[in-house]
Amino acid sequence: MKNELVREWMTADVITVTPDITLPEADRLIVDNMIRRLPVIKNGKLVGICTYGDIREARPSPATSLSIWELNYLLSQLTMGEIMTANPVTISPEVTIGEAARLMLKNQISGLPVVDNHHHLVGIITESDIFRLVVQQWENMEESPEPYVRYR
Amino acid sequence: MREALVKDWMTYGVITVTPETTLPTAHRMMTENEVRRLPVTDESGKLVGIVTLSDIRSVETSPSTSLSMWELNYLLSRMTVGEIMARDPVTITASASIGKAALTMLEHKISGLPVVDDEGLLTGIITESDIFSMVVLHEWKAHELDEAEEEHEPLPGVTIEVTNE
Repeated sequence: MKNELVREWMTADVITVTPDITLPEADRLIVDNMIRRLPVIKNGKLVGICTYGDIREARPSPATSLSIWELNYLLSQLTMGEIMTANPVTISPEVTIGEAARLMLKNQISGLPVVDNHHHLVGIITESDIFRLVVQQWENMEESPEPYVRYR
Repeated sequence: MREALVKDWMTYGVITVTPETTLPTAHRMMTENEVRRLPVTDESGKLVGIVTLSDIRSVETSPSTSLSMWELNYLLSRMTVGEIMARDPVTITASASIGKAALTMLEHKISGLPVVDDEGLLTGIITESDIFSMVVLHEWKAHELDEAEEEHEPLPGVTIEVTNE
């Protein structure tokens, strides 16, 4: 089970953003698609990742001595480039699920962007994907269960 | 591993809210405790619903209306968990197997199950993350892989001598 490849279980159709996308636009994408992270792509390469936690903690600088209106305006102008976690932990499609799971636990994250040798994003693999694999194997299911995005 | 019981893997000290808890308070409790869902109980400890971070975020990120930012914020601050929670949530018992808990989550497309006793009283919670961690650490022995990585020394170079006999 743990020797299955990332390639077989990742979601290839990833919702991504570019560094110039604003905080409210990213927030909207995350909520509407019921996802937990947005890989940030620049010139076809993965440059960062933005999670709800990053959005929640975003603060414009300088944040002091601003009126509530100025603060709100600046927040709405913040871009992914400013908020994202740059150089995120990634995984190759050719390694095992076991390795993906180990990396997630070790880094205390629940999702890994999957990249090829040229740092192009080819998919994403999450704790939920691995959970589905485990349940499928336990139940000897014939059909693969549906992916994470519709979970609450 | 799938035969392990929920009672050995669930979290016992669950953070809960009541239907009267306001949305901002519930949101803050989730952030502070790093949880994605809060079971909702009444005064007697009986489970009456569940509210997730997704639910709250959907309300907060509503499409813009003709209301001003102040009006919107005011309305949001007064909304209660009872207004948006899922009633009659899917639950599991402590004596059920992990396999059953996992299958239940998958079938209902949810990632957490409140654990209740025969009287419907909340005793704990078990999540997809708990099962993931358990399988990876105990069945897949992730920690052993980590230790192996740390102890690994680079292999010394090997020289082969070829001689003509």
